[in-house]
Amino acid sequence: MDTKGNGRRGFIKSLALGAAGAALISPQAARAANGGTLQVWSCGGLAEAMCPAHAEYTRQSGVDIVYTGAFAAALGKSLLTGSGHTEVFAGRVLALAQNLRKAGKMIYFKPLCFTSYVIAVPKGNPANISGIEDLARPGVRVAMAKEASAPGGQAVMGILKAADLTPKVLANVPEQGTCVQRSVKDVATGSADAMIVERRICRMERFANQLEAVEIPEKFFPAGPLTFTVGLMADAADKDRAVAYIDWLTSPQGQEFFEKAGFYTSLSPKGQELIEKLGVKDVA
Amino acid sequence: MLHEIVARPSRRLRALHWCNRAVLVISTIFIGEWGLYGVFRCPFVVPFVSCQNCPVMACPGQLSRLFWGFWGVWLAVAIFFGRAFCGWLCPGALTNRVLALNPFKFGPNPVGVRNYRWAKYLMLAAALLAWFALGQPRVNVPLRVGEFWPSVWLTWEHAFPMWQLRFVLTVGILALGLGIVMCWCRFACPFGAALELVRRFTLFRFYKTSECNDCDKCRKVCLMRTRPDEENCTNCGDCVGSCPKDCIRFGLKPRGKE
Ligand code: SF4
Ligand code: SF4
Ligand code: SF4
Repeated sequence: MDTKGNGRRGFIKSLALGAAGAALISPQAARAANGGTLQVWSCGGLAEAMCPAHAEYTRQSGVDIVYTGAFAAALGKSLLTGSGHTEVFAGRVLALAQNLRKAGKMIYFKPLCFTSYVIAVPKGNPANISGIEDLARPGVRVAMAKEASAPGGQAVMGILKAADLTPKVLANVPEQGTCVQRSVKDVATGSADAMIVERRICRMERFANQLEAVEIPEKFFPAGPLTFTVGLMADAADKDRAVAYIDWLTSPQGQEFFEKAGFYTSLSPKGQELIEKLGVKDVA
Repeated sequence: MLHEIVARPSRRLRALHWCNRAVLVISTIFIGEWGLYGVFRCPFVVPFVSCQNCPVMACPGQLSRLFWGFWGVWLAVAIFFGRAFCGWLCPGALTNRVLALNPFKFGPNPVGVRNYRWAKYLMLAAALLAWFALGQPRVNVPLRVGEFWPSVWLTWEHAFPMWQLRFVLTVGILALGLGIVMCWCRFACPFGAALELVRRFTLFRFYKTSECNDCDKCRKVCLMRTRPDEENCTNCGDCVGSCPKDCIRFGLKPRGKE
């Protein structure tokens, strides 16, 4: 009996079935872009705010947002060196937006929101952390990811330096991690007592029920990168469509998503203050 | 029942083969995308095992967070059915099978290929080393969200050398499957190697009865170029019906018989 032949015929048949199935579930097939599409790149840190915001924007405007969220410095490099193209770019680090402007890749930018830092503690705060000085208390287990990509490690070191607590807190770190999310998970599970993180981390769905945030006075925040901007790129195929999106994202309706995800919005009093303090101005 | 199907080549036997392909395709529809993320976008050295704290929110692996037992079930399947995951569920197997449809492939093994049987254990050792001893470093910039294929280029562009090495090895060895059938699965897959270690102690399996006269007809049918209950057998059932002595069976292997 020719099992091999049968097997192969059966195989090809089922392959065709699979291909048909895959085509059905492909997001491209499901996409109905009656308002056109718009390509948006942003710093990965904004993804938790951007995803629901885009769903709402698409619902309202019919514009389909093709969104990529990744480490901003990497995206910025792609945009600056010319291998990457997008229509709207929302990056972290003010200087990056300014460089894109200077290089003629970006037409204008606006302040979008600001990040801030808190001490994440397990729900119930078992080690009774009430301020940054408590991280230096003997016996407190501090989680940290010094080597994590910016701003993960660098910003935290800046905060400790500003608070003049670096050696004491470092002595309380049993093990340096390499990834913020991995280290903060130790806090969420209670195997560490505290970790300095961006507020947005405590708001992430996966940690929101496990973490509480203890405030850090703003005077200790590092000078940067705190700023997120959103800019219109020279590559935008339909400038009006891109501008309408940027306007919506920076309107009270759009900004709500950033507030929820743990950022200071550019419209809030705090945001307005930071715009002035950090000089978030579009100058070519 | 399976025992009966196996013993009498028939329409039901064809149904078994057809069923195998259908299950592979269905499983690929469900977990194939995760596989693609593992190869093309996963920022860790060893893909699939750090999903609990992975920043790539577009990856279907994030669902495995909700289902903590994923790897437990995987192992349980291995304890009961050996490498049945390879034979019935893995999108990698389907990919390799598709590559094996290439009409210009080598028929039997090219000379010397069998000598590389150890390579998959080397890959497993390297993976375990990276995972436990090196702490599973993240070797790529996390691309959290993005359309899949356009993102792959960005991922490659910003990858660290260790990621690029992993990528080149995976895709290269996979491509060798065009000539050497199931090359990745037989010689390189660390997950397959882990299952292979469990396979030796598994409860249910395809096996040869004592009537086997070593004619090797089953090996010719088998894409893994093996025989029932021997190294790399994935319990796929393809060889059933190929045996002139009708000595391929499925079930608990009777003790003392070979
Ligand atoms: S969720 Fe993350 S770790 Fe898991 S496979 Fe996907 S990319 Fe890799
Ligand atoms: S050897 Fe690896 S890729 Fe091949 S079927 Fe098994 S798990 Fe999948
Ligand atoms: S020996 Fe038979 S059951 Fe095992 S992998 Fe080969 S064809 Fe499949």
